[in-house]
Amino acid sequence: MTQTAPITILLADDHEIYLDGLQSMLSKQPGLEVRGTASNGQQLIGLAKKQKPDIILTDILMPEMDGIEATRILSRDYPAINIIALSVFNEDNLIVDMLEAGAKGYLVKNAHKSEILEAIHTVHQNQPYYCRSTTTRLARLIARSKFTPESLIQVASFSDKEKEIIKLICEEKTSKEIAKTLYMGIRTVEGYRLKILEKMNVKSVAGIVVYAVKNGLYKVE
Amino acid sequence: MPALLSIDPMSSYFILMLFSYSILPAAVIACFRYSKVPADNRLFFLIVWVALFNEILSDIFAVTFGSSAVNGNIYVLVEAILYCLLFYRWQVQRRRKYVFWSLIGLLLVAWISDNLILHTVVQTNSLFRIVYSFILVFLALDQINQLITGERENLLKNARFLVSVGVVIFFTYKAIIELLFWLLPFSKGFQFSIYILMDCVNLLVNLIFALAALWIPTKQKFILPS
Amino acid sequence: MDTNETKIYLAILIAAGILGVFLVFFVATMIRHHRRNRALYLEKLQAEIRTLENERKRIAADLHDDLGPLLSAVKMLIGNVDTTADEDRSTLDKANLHIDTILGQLHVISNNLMPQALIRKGLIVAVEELASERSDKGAMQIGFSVEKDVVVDPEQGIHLYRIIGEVIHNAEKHAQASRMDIKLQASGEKLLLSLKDNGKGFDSRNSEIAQRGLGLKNVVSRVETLKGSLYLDSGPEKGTLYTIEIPLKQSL
Repeated sequence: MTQTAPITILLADDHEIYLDGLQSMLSKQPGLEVRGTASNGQQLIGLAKKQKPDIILTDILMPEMDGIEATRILSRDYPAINIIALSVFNEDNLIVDMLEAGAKGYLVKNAHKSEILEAIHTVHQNQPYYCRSTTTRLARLIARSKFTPESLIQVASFSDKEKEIIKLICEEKTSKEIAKTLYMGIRTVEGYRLKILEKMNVKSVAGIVVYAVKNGLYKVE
Repeated sequence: MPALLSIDPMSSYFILMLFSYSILPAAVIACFRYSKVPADNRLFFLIVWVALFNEILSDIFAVTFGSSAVNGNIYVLVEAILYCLLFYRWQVQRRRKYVFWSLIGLLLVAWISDNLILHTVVQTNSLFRIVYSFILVFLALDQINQLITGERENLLKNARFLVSVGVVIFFTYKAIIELLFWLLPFSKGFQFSIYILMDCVNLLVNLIFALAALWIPTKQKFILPS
Repeated sequence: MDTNETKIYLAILIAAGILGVFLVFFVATMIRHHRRNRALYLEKLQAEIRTLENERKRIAADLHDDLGPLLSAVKMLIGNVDTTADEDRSTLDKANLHIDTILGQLHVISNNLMPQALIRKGLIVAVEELASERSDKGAMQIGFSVEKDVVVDPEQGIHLYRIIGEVIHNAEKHAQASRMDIKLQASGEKLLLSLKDNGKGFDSRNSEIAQRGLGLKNVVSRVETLKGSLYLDSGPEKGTLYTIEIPLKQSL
């Protein structure tokens, strides 16, 4: 295996035990390197200036300066740093605020280890990451927000059938329901689904919704 | 000698006319606001119109038959029942149907015995007027007490409060005077002077009613039954 | 009239005058006391509700800002345990599942106590969130429209939010409505909130209201605290329209 440079990471959270846990988990992973931790937005900015990390994982609600404000400053001054928001709960408004401030993705704090790693790698490739627990409602909110990462604006062309399925996915229909409405087999729908995910270069339903709305494939009322 | 007694008969008759038609402002306001107010308050407008109608009828009867006793006797019965119904509808708390019906029953018994059994309907009878004055004052006082414990808006702008105060004032005097006439025989001149006094009270109350008609809310404000 | 009658007449005049004075005094003092009593009542009510809201805010903040993060930290620590034994693995998975449930409940509780959106973003965003959340979960579709540039004072916002929550709850639980429209607009010096559902409705005079009890009572006291008025237009089978009018308080 070739030794590529590890992904450098900074962590920020006002709860030390979470910070410790996250740090010890991440430092065990090959290819990741935690360069430091901060307990509020102010400290995080200072640390980021010195370390210039690839990725920052930051809590949203912190004393002194919250994650939103820090993200706004960091994404303005150091656009190369990709920021992932950590939210305790799936809180739509906080998450949308973070994304609008410049975060590339978000996670709920009780996300599984594998998901945290997936998020880090996705965001490192400059792709947006939506937590697996994202509801369609949140996806619509994100789609309507000012959050527009560059990777979203490369319209692949979709067939009419695909467009139809995208629309139904945005309306929270399951594969089964889609199959029923379009008189197709579930397998076929699943196949289309995979193709759409691939074409959009996204990983989840939330990704499809955001992509579809941002590119006018689906209109929110 | 009180000034009112020294006025010559013609001008005092004119003043009486004016006083008795003081219900007119309230009646006119009621016309304009009738369609806008909730059903419970329309009853009050009806009372005002009936009062005006009776005034007109009394004048016509006084001219044609020389006496307005018949329509007066019937009018007080109608008025009594309408007021009972109004106060029953205005009941904030649980309405008690049997109280309402027993009051109506009492009024009917009093009216029949006063106008058909003890006296005739063609003379002005006091007994029923005494009974219904008492009942209406009690009902109005009860309404006022409900309002001061339950109502949280300004009382002075509350139509229910104004009407109740008007009823208390008017029927308190009416009860006293009717009682006086019933117990003691007085000369016609004396009775006339007393009626002038009564008309002053009537004027005041009718003005209060005009205010009430003006201030009856168009929408029923929601009050929680306690 | 003979002299005797004149004397009696005078006596009656005096008695009537005295009675009149008493009546006027009676009414005047009644109004004065009523007004004072009303002011006191309102003050007490406001203080009560303010204490309640502050308390809720504090507890919600404790749950949301302290307990929640701590629990996720615990989950993180558990996740760091590397074990190959299947039995231990399944125990840890169970523990994780429980923590997720607790976190979810914590979120619901703290949001019920005091929605974050309400504190951070104000009434309009909070109601939008509430409406879309209830529409997603419940059987009732909720529409919410706001007239442009309506600014709601934060404290008034909390009261209005509670009122809206209560009315939605009523419509869902008692009226079995399938649709509710919430409108917020400013007209002149007044803020107008109207909520219309297509549920069963009720006779506003009926004792049914008493059974609905606490909910409507809370709405009424909130409206009173806001020095506003509440109008209820409802009838069996024609749904219910709540109209709430409160004086607009310009937030600084």
